[in-house]
Amino acid sequence: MDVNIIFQIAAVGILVSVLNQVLIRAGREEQAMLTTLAGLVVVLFSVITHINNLFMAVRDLFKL
Amino acid sequence: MLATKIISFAIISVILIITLRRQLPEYAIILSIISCIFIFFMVLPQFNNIFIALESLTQNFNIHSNYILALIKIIGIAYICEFASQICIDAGEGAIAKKIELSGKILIISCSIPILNDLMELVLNLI
Repeated sequence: MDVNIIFQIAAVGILVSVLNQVLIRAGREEQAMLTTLAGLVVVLFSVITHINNLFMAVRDLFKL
Repeated sequence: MLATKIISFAIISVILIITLRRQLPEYAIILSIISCIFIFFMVLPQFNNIFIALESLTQNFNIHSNYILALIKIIGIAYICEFASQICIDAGEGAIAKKIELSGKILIISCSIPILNDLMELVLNLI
């Protein structure tokens, strides 16, 4: 359970938001939307692993 | 100290979430999910100790172990449903949160039906 994951996700979020603003100002809104979606997919991959860990731990702990 | 670790972690993640919320609300929700999961994992060993102590208590006092097992399951269901429901409320989906709570209540009732049966039998045997 590495605490740095929080900082990694926040860094990806800030990077994507900066890219979003730059692309919107440059007039390419569809690419901005695609960048947001791509960052979201990347972050979701690691989040799903952690949610899986949570459910495994809860199932073992509470003997569900 | 565990409490200060949890509190500092929570404050840092809250600040990061607020930073992201205005620009990209999806990342804010994902970050809040992850910080909830991490805080729970920090407290997990304490849960284990509590349950072990509870089990030793039941063995000393000859309480039927099925009851304590059902109780622990009910606590687990309640925790998971409250976790998901609060995340939905944070995301602005109050309706989904209420449905999650409703399903949690139904699951808890279905978990406790054997205990109710035993209670009824006990009462009928006494009469």
